[in-house]
Amino acid sequence: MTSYPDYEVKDLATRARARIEMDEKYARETLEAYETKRRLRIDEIIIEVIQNFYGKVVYELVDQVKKLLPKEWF
Amino acid sequence: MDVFNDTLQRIAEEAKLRWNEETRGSLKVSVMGQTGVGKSTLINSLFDVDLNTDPVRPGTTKIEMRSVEGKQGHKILFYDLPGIGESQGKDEEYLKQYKQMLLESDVAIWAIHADSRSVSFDRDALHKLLETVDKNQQIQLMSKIIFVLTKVDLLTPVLSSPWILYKVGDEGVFETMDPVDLLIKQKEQYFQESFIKSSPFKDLIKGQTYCSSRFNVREPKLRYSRNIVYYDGLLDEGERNRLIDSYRRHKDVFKRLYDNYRVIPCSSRYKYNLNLLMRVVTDKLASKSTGKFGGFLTTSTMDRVPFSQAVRYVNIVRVE
Repeated sequence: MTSYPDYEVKDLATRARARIEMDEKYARETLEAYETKRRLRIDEIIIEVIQNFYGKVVYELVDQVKKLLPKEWF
Repeated sequence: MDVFNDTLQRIAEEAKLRWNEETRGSLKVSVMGQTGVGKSTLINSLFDVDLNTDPVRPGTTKIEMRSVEGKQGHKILFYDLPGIGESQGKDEEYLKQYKQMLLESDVAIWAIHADSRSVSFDRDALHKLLETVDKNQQIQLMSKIIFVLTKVDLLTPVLSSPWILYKVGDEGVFETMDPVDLLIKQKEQYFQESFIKSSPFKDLIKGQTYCSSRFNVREPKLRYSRNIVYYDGLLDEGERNRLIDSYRRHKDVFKRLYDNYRVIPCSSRYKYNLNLLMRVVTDKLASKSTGKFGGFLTTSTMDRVPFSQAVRYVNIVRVE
């Protein structure tokens, strides 16, 4: 078997395959990290939309209730 | 009940609109670094785009802003922030602009040439930058910036040591042999010490990573909220190892957290460590940047170089 300085080719191949496995793990983790953040962001957006929507509803209700109260209060 | 369902429907439609709008935005990427460190090439390799890699005029400190479309039609706004140090008067003006760009960016990279022996230039620039902002911005910048050691393929140890080129179909994967590996690790430690560990701002860093399973670890500097684990301050190697020994089932979480604080050694030419860098970029991403980032993710690894191209490089040993 050929060697390069102090290394057997099969050792080099083993080392390279370990690098490939590690790179594949990083790639999987990247997708997992992205998916986690994507879900988190969608949750945040839903919360913001609900807060915004009910905020408007609350102000509208306040205006309607005010009409039912004595005018001299305002 | 109909009114309630209608309301839910309207909320869902609005949320859908908001998310779609976010996915259409341009991803802002800032790269700080001296001329010739390979900023454009790094961005091209990382996001699979085609920025012009003509070198910027040496000595220029002009901010370049370039917009480029990715393969899936998503846009990147690339801020090229050349190194400073031309003159003190001008530096202050440039630092103001750099600070704004870095704060506004979704991804902020500080690129350092692996073969550089002096760190004072970059380190001073970083310190000057941080000294001029308030504490919240210091936290934001220190936590956001990713330090990258570029062009590690150019490192040459005293002992002759080629890179391994491993053939996988029509492509090749590069890996180091021990002498280069050792040199890369030494460089990484040196730059990590200079930029992070010895920084007066090190305790402001907030590391973060995802954790899909239940994370029930009680440690003073660790927090967990909605599948994200946060670490306050500097997580060094010793503390990482202690956490791994104490909570083995979360070892990958602690490894990922630690990577937040590393200076990542990369080679765009050899596609070396780009997967690691991309994972760190994703981990550090603010949730509001997620939409525009999605278009640049690939399901495959980024470590492959066309074999016909890879064999033309010198100082390699081919393995099949």
